[in-house]
Amino acid sequence: MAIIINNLTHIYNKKTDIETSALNNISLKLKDHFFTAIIGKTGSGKTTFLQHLNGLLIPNDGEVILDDFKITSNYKKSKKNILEIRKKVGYLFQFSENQLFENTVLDDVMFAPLNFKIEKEEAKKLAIEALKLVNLNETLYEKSPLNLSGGEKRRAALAGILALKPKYLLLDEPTSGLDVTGKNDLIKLLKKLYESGVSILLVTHDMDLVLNCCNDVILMDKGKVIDFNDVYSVFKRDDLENYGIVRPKIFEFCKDFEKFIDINKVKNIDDFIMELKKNGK
Amino acid sequence: MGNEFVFGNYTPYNTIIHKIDCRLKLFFLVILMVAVFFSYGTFVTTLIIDGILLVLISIIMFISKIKFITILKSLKFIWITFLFIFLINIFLPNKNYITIAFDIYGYNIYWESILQSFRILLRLIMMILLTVILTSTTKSTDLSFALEWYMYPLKLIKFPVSDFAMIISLVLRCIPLILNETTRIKKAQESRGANFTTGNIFKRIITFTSIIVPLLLSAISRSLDMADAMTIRGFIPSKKRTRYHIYKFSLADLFSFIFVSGCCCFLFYLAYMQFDLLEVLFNFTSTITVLR
Amino acid sequence: MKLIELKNVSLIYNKKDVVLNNISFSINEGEIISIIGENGSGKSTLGKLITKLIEPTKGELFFKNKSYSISNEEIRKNFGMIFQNPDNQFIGNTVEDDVAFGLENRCINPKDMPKIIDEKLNLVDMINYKKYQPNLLSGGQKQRVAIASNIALNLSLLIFDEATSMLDPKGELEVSNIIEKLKKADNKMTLIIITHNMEEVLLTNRVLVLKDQKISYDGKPDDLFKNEELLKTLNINPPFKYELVTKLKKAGFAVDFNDSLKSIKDKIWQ
Repeated sequence: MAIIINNLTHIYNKKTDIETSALNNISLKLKDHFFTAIIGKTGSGKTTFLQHLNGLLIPNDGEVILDDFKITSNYKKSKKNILEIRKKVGYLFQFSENQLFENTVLDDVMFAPLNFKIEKEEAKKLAIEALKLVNLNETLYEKSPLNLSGGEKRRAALAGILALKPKYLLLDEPTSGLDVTGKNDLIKLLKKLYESGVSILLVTHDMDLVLNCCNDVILMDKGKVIDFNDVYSVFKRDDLENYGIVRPKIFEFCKDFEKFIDINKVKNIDDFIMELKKNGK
Repeated sequence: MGNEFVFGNYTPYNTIIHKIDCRLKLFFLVILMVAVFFSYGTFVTTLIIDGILLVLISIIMFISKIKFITILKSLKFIWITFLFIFLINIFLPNKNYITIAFDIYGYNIYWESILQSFRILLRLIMMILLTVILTSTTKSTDLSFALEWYMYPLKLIKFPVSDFAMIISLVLRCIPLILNETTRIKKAQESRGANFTTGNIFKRIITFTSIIVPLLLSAISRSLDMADAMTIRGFIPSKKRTRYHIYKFSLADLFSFIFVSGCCCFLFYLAYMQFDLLEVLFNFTSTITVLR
Repeated sequence: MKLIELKNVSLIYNKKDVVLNNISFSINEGEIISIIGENGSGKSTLGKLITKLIEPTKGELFFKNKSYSISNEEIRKNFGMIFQNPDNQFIGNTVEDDVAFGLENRCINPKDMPKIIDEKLNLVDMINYKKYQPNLLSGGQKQRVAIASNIALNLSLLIFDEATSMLDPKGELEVSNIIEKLKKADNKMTLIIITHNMEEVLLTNRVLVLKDQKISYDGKPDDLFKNEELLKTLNINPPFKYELVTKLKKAGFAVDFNDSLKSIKDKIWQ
């Protein structure tokens, strides 16, 4: 039971004059319960890779194995089990607040369960459960999604995915455009989800988020996986600049204290000071 | 990001076709389309001339570096329409048709109708190709300039020609953005289990609103943003503006004008005379034999 | 000299939704200031009020001591604004067309345009992309073109309205490099940077914090970021160095806000 990717290749606009190779022979295996980030430059194929994991894109070559499902190049999107894949693997788009369309927040969150032929009463129950999970105030349920703040919209959109109780959660730039409060709320929520057993794979440019939340990092460049390792090993790489990655400031700072403290435990400034105290004097 | 190819989008090559003045190109498009739509007498004559036109169009496409296969791929959604038009025309009854090709349970299908539908399809394809040539070799600002130029007389009746041209150029500018947005929202709703291909009508309408509503909202906010960005840079509707690009006719323009209008005049002449080309050819060869 | 002055400005939508409540402040010529606040605090609206893309419900705005309104074309000519979404402000078909768009509106002689366009594109390092179309450019590049398009119009005030929030780190860096360049330029353009990126606030000399429809802080960024309690009430995360020093101090290290990161390291070693 895991996500296994074998020789995944994807080419956009094949056989036209604007043919571009987005993914090039990617093979990797994600362990059972993961909180992983995909990092890399814009255009390195991160989003394309992510969209293969719930059948939004079909590989040109290679295969994606999700538990007992298998997506290969001759997989058809019209196949019945695509719905089961999407139920298992939730996908939150970048600027996901744009996808809200119903009259009320509750209706919008119910959209997904209803699509999966769940009875209305049950769907409502699931929706309310999801809205509670993302910590959205009950007074907002009957409001129009347009009247919510940016962070609230983002969480409502996430609730729309979580209503299906996915086992895997894919997130594309979940924190972009959010202010401090919105970001902190989201980070708390993601950590809670991970602890409750959901596996999370996110694409992001926010390295503080990666250091703070994730266990592993997939480093991508030009459609290839350069490195797939735990956060600290990836951030320790000397050639990180070539892949457009700027290390989190706290990591950069405490790198010099590597011999003195256990750098693998430092996720933020508080951790750093705690480590200093523990090992100091 | 997956840059979906947008059909007919401008391609920045530097070919002769790209260099021809945009006003001329628009003119060529109109007269060539007229030529495509004329009837040249008998079926056979018309088909021959269509063939010639098709060859001409392919040559222009080759020169302007438009790949046929790119167009074919981006046309994949239109094939259904083509098939539909083809079938409708075949089954449409017409009293003038006489040569029976098939007899399907008492319903006659005539050779003429098959030829006729084939021709209609050919015309449609040529029309699309001509438009693609124009749009992929002409920038949208140039295109709107050309439109503005031709609409100049309308200024006399106080029609806001320059605003109209600006609107067209902005619409053309936004089409790729909106198409990208559509794919994005469609995928986002798909991952929420929306199904756009099956299900009953009622359900499908609901699923389509899940695309249309976000798309409209984003289009509205985009247009408000654009209006702000234009206002801040001093754009005021109907106010006089200068023009960065200076359009001058060149030698290439002259030659292309002579060539295209020459071809079209010849075709118009043929259409006017309604020759039977086969007969003409036959007479021609027999005259030669007689002369020998 | 005062460039912009706001006197008791309020903005109320639908007679009940208060966006800005009785705001007064002034900006001097050549000042570099930043405006921060949570999402929905009205900071973008404030930018639009100053450039008169919208009119206030109450109060008045002055440009060089002259009151101005939405119809004052001559005064509004002095203002430029870079918006959040790079795609929505690319009006032309190519990079050069986009810069030319504003010049055309100002009825500049077409003969003078190429020189201005080249000069401004040079300034933002986009000269090599002159003939490029927007779909081939990255977000950061598009924002740089937007900056060139604005400064080509001889502005005295340029507002960055969360111009980097939709960009990747590379784009962010590109834009803040241009801001640094503009700061050093001779003509002393006044810059207002509306942002939620605290590192960008450090580029400026003065910061306004909007909270509850009012200005809750107006002063030096340095003073704001040193004041832990104020930060807490305003709900602001300080930039990395300030957070580090504050927390180190609390833990009993003898570090100071003026220290560079390197000297902080040295002090910890001691």
